[in-house]
Amino acid sequence: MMLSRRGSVFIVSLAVVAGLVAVLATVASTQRSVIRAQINRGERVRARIAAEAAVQRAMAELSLQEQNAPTLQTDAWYDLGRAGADRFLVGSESFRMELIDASSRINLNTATQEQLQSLPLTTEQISALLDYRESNREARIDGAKDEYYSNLSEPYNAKLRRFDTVDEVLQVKGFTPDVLFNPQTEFVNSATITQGRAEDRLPLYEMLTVDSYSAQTTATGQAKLNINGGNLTASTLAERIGVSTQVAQAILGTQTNRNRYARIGDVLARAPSNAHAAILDNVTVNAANPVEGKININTATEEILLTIPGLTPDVVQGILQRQPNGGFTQLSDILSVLGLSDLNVLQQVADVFATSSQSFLVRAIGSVGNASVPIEALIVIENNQPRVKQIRDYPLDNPIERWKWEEEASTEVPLLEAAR
Amino acid sequence: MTFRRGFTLVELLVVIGITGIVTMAATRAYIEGITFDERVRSGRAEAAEIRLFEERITELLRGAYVTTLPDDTSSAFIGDMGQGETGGSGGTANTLTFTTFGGRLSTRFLSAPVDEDFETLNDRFGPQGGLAEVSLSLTPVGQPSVDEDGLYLRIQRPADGDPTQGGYEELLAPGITDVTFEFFNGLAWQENWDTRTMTTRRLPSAVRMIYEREDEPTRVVVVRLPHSDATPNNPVGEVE
Repeated sequence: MMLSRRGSVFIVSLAVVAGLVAVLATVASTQRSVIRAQINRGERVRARIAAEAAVQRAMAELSLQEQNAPTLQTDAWYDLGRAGADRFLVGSESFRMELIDASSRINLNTATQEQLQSLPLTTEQISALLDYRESNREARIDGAKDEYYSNLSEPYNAKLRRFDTVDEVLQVKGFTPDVLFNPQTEFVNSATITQGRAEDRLPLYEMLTVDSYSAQTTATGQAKLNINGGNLTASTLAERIGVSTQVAQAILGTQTNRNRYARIGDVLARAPSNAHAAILDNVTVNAANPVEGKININTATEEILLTIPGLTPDVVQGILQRQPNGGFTQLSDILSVLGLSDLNVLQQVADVFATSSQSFLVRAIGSVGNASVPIEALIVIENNQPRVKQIRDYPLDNPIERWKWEEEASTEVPLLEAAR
Repeated sequence: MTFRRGFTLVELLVVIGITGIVTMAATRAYIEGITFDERVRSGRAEAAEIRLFEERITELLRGAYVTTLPDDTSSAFIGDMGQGETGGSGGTANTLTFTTFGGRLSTRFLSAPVDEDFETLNDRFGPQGGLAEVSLSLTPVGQPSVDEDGLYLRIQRPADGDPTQGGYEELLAPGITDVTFEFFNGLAWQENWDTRTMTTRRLPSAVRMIYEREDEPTRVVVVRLPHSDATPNNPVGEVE
């Protein structure tokens, strides 16, 4: 009887201790989650800085590019980061990166109706896109201008200017996140029929750029001749493209009635075939330098090449084979690709391609601890100096899958050690 | 028969006294504990609110972007004194209008069902993506639905180069009574900034926002602008 009474005091004190411990545990666990959240926030900031370091790494590489040199797959920049396979270590932070030639993509701001038709887009979407970009107020029959956008339930005005980012097309009638970010495997139009397997198709977002400039110079850095330039004489042209003055005069037209050329393809049609190479390398149809919207034949991927009107899958394979083996150092090199010297094809593609680029895209993921921040940056080379033009968070959650990177990096590259 | 002796009055009084003191101390400690817990909780909620607000501002400013194309007037970065201000902040900017990529597309928009068409998405989310024109000011541009003091945020997509109107306005942070913005040109902090008066449009390398809530200490947010090319070696010329 006495024993059990003493025991009751012990049990009461145990209960009190247990209660106190429970209170302490609750406090500790909330504190822990608060601290954890704080650490996560700190790690995100550090991961972002690591991703920005990747952009600086890309800038350093691009500043070594020679001016006027062709932009090739054999250049050092092309292998930088090896498509995410290298993990660059900076202290406890790290980043993975890939550098892409923006000129390997289709330029949203210069693409013509014909070029857009080879993308998985309906004619309504193409009309709406061109209407949104062009400054005139008249909408196409199946397009859309202010009359349409101001009647939406959340109204706004059509931009009527060039696109600043690729995701800006989400403001254009008919463009949903699905159209922009997912491969359109079900889509069929005259252009997609000739293209590869549906499951290999890229989402529109990875095929487009808002910025792509190429130098308009010859392989030796000389400015090209503007065939529409008022003071271009027949003898100058004859000397540069290696034809007689009479032939050059015939291309230029008479003094009082000069021929106007909208495309290099039209110049080629009037010239003898032995002058085609020289025309491709030395002649342009406008004075712009650099010129916007050309596709760099050295870096264009199969998916992009297949969208170019006039290129058959065989010709595309010919181009792809040459890209890593010396590439195309000047535009006339395309004549050696089987099927491209044919005048009909050449006329169609002569205005599409360039051999160099001054715009580059950086894909990078900065990581530290559990945090990782994927970003995309656009670097442009102006006056021989690379400059970060845009730097943004990648809009989607699964960058590694979308960029077709390996899940994990295979090599670690310590950067601080290298610097010491 | 055993005689059981009871407690004396003194004994009883002592016991009652001790019990009273112990109970009082215990109750007091308990109440203290409860109020402390509440204070921590509300402090945390308030800190979370402040953090959300400051993160939003940081995100908007970090995306600040102006094009360098000479004929494109749709993008700008303008920090000056808003209209109708008496200049209580000593001439420094209290209104900021700029064009920005403004953070990521919303997850809800991106994960909307595939069969929802453009009009439905517009109804649910409004215009998305691209460059947005953003205004931050204590004085709303339009007629807000709530008449309350605080920092107003106006977002307009696409940016049209007219900072005086358009877009959607919301009360971003109620209770803010004073705000000033300062701009680092690479060498020194400037009181205002206007890309419209520059020959080459350039961004400050950093923006400092100083703001006050009622009965709260002044807070400062500094954001570095990654799209700026201003450095000590290449500062942005004196702003008029």
